[in-house]
Amino acid sequence: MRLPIVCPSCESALKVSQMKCDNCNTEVNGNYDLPLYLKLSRDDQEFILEFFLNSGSIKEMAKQAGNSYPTMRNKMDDLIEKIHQMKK
Amino acid sequence: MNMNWQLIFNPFSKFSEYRLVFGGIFLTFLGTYVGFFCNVSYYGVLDIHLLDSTSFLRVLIENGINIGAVLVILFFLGKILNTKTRVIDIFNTALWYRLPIYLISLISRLLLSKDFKEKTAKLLENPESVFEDKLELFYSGFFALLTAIFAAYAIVLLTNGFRTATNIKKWQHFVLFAFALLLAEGVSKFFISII
Repeated sequence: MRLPIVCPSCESALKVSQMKCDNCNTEVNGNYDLPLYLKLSRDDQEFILEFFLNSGSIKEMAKQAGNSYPTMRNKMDDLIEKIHQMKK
Repeated sequence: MNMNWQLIFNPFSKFSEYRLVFGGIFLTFLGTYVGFFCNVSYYGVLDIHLLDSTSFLRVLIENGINIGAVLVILFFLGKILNTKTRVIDIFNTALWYRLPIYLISLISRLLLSKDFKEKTAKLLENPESVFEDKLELFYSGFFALLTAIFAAYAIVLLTNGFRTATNIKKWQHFVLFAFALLLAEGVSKFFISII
């Protein structure tokens, strides 16, 4: 099941209000921010994961995705810019 | 963008830089031979002029000047706009944008008669004579339309190549790109005129 990161009604960022232990059923309630990585879209998260699994080689990622190196590097630069904006 | 359309209009986003370089160099020699075979002068970044005769070496030098002017000026601008711009990506753009220009050179010899220039000069003196040879008129009109389409295709390849190499998105950057092309046109025409 995909974790929703924005409100389906107003599209604002969602927060974590409840977590549950599957083992003893303990529930924790609060108002927690989602970690930055989880605030990214599914595609962006997969892109970062792929980058990590390819030992940080954009060239290798481009080869696997069937894209050119500058296309992949541009995607990476756009994602870095997006994260910088989110951190502000 | 659909995969096939992307290959036609932005091959720079799909193919590796080395395939583009080797293919582009082959294309340049092929295009030079086409220019020589069709007696064409590549007088400017986006120009072709029909001649009575030319030499392979001259066409090769003209081609080299056009590619060099685009490479140097766009690389300089690309570095200003994005420091990560690589020379190989701009080089590929400069090699491949010429594909439609080579094609129109070939088509010009297939569609236009050998005495086309004389006929055009005669036409300018006596505009009514345009209706005398309707087939020639049709060919000329069709050629003009094809030239416009192929010139637009060359600009699309240049734009997509530069955009892929530099990741530009702002309209101001595209305006600078247009000015850089005009500058490359002027520079290439200057150097070709002195050879």
